[in-house]
Amino acid sequence: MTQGSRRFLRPEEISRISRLEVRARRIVEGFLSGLHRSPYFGQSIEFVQHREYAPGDDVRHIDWKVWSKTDQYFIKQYEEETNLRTTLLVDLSESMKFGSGEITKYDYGCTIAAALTYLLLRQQDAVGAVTFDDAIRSQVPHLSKTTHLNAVLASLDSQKPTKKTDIFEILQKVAEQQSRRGLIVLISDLFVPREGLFKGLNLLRYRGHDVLLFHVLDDAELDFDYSGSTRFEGLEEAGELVCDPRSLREGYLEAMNSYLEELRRFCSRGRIDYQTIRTSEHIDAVLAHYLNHRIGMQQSGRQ
Amino acid sequence: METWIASHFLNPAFVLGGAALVASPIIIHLINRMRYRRVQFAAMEFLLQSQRRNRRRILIEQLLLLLLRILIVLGIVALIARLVLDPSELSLFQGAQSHHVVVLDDSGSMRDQLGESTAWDESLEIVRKLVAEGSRRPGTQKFTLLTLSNPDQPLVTQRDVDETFLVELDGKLRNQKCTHQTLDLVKGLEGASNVLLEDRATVRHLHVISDYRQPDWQEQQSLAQIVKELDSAGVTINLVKTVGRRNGNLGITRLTGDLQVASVGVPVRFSLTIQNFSDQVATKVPVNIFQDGQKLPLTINFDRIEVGVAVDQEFDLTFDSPGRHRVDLRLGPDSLLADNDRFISVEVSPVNRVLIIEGNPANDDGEYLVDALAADPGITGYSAQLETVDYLRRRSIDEFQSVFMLNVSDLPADALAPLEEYVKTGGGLAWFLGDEIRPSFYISELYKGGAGLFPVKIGIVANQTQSSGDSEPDTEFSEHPIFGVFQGQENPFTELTRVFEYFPVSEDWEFDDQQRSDNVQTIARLTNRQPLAFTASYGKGTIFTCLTTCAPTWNNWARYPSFVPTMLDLEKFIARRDRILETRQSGEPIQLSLNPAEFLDEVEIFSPDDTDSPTRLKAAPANAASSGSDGATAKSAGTLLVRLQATYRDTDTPGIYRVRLLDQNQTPTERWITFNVPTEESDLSLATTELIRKQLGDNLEILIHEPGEFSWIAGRDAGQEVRFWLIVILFVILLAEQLLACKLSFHPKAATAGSNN
Repeated sequence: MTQGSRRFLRPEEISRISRLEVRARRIVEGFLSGLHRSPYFGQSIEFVQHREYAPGDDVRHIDWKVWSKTDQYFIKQYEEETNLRTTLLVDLSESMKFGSGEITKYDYGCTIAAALTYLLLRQQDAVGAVTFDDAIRSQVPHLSKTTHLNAVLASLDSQKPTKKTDIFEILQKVAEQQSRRGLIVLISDLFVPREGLFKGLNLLRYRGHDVLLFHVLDDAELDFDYSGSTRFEGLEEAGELVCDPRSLREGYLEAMNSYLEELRRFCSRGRIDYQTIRTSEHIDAVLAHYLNHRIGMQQSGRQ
Repeated sequence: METWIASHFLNPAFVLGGAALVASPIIIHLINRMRYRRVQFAAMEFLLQSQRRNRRRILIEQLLLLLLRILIVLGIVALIARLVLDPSELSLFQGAQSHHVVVLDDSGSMRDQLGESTAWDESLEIVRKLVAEGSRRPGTQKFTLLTLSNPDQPLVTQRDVDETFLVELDGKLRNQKCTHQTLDLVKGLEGASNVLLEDRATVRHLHVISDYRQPDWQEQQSLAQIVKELDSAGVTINLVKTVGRRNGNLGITRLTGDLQVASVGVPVRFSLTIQNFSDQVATKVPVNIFQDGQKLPLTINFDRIEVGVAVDQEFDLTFDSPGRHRVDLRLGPDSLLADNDRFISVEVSPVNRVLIIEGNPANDDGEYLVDALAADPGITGYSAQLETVDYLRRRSIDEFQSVFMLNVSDLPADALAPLEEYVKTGGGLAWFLGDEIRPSFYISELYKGGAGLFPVKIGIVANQTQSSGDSEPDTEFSEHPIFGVFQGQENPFTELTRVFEYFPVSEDWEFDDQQRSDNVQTIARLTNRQPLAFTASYGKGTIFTCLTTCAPTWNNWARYPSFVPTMLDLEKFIARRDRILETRQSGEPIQLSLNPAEFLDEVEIFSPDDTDSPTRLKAAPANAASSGSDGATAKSAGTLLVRLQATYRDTDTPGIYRVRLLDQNQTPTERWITFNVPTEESDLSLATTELIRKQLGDNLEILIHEPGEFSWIAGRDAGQEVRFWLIVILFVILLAEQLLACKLSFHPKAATAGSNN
């Protein structure tokens, strides 16, 4: 684990998350024990593809036969450690670098991704990670080994939010790539075209994926507690505006809440787990909320 | 604009600056628009959406907030600059280019003591305050100051008011003295009116600073007329009182004496009047007498003087040496010091000469009179000279105090002419008739239809009276100074005096003085109602006429003691008075008209204060500009000479002024003129505001300011009501601004939660 990647999973975060492990295991073990209808039942271990070696990959997975022929390191990707296959989609667009406090939405999103990765890996679930903006910027294959955490964290750390988001294309690609059904966790501020977002999410649902939406928003975006004459410079080329924010606050909050409400309704209709997350909240609270929500979903699904 | 501002604000200097502050909310708003913090923001979609939706509302709210803040600034500016909606309430010095004309009452009553200062000092202080207030707005105020004593020549004329002028005026006011004179307020206002009505380009104010005594405000129709004209011309009129309450005052209102017969060693009777001008009875009032500057061991005491009453007393003074003497009487100090002193100067002769012309020296008519007047000249002060009619023809009679004509049959023309001239110029004349007179001459040449020296038309034949018995008086004497000895009930002299024969007045001559209404007064009648004695005036002289004899031939008068005092009183009454030293009121100019053949043109005047350093005047020919050719003609003709004229006006200080002239031989001669304060100034009763308004007219907008109130100068009381409402409005606007600003602003819930915790 590099020093940079450590910032996403600090010791106190790990300590807090560990307490969730019991509840998380319960979910996963529920899948394994067959007590519940699992979407991943009947899958087996088989070779999938080769992938160029990336730092952090386990050297034991290097296909030496290919090396002997091509003198290049490729990893054989075929193993399946569990029947829960989770893909973390982390938004890397420029809007994610906004943060009114110490932490940006991107940092917070990465922390969520890291925590989930840690949690899932501790439970022997396969976790893959995709970072994107207007295209996929990095992709970490699904593995269930504990050491896979490093690869995920390294992938998150190596990216900087710079560009706009093309969410539909990303989700379309992810849907194409993830032929096997699994859990898709989208961590984003969702400042994207709604039509593309909804189409992409629907596409994932059609492919049989379980979709979990972490809508990461800053306090300033939710409360809009600015005052004084302010020049708002939009990220992702969203324009700029000089105004007295107090006078626009009411309208802003109305528009924002309308959007959130629309998202909630959409997710509710599409059986998508949706969670609005404030960057000021502790990560364990977010995860606890999530896990509780998942338990509720599982129970309602069994009935 | 400046005029409007100056006429609606107490502190107009703040208005323009304050108005500029109105831009401050706008500038602050614009600066805030330019000075903003930069925030990179992700959720621009919603922000822009809000901005699109609320653009109009925000604009209106911002404009409303801006308007409220501008109104707050305006309200504060109006408070500081002291907005006054009614310009008439404003300070006198608010108007741009205002002209202030101050009429300063410097009459004698302004010397009224008010504690440590006087009413005059108070009035000067008001002038200073006025100018000091005006100097705070240099370049906008003009000032004219005139006094009642010299209304045609203002002390200051249309001077720009500033600090320099304030200092200069202060120096002038220090040298300005209050007069002792009675001055005419109407003339003062006319002078002010001339100045004000000429100046039409400015806002005009008239300030009349006076003690406003009641005597000055009785039936002042002309005063009301002037004030009305000024008011209709738009002049603001301020009547400023300097005295708040009436002060008690005693004044010597009269000092006279038998100065015409003053002679060495003979007591001269003086008469003194003191009037109580207070509203309380005065008791035990002593009056000290000073003769030639020396206090005499004689004090005249007035035991009690009722309110408003004048009390007379007489006293005698004897002068040991001939020549001029000064007498002054002094009361103890009271509110008005000026009328506590009164002066009189006396020309004391070694002896008073009386000429007695006898018609028939063989008779003893003259002897009786000489015995009565000058039995001992050292006692009576008279020297009687018995002469015949020829004396009138041959000698000048100017040196005699009076001439007695006793039983003179007739007068030749060259005797009558000098006698007429003598009486006309002031000499005294007494006629006694007798058996020698020619009635026709008396009627035709002396009576001359009432225009001659003999005042009555007598009958042709003398009458004999019917004896009415010893116990009944046959003569009725009126209350006249000549017959003082016959006054009183059952006076023995009246009973003893008998008239046996007399010349009746002509039947066609009206007996009744009032019906006749000439200057002849009947002072004694017989019991048959026939007039016996008269007084009359002729020119400057006084004539006594008795239709019976002086000697006890037609009467027994000279045989009784009453004859002597009667003749002495008669002489006192008719004695020439033109040589009495002149007495005038303070302020009257000394006008000299000198004969150049007799006097040089150099005149020295010694005022009462400056006995050693006289004022020197140069007498100039009368009408020097116009009479040049006439004078040359006169001189060339050798018959007429242009008289030399000199005028001395600085006679305000009461006392005795000495005018020294030089005759052609360089020999100095002196004339004494006594100046006393006018008694009109002694009454210090004050006119009430109601009386003043009533006299001037109730419908005029005149501001009457009570003494000690100076707020009207600065207009401190102006706009009180507006100020109250301004504060209320400002409070409401501030409240509205706060509410609107609170509504438009964002208040974090966390703070509220925290406070709840």
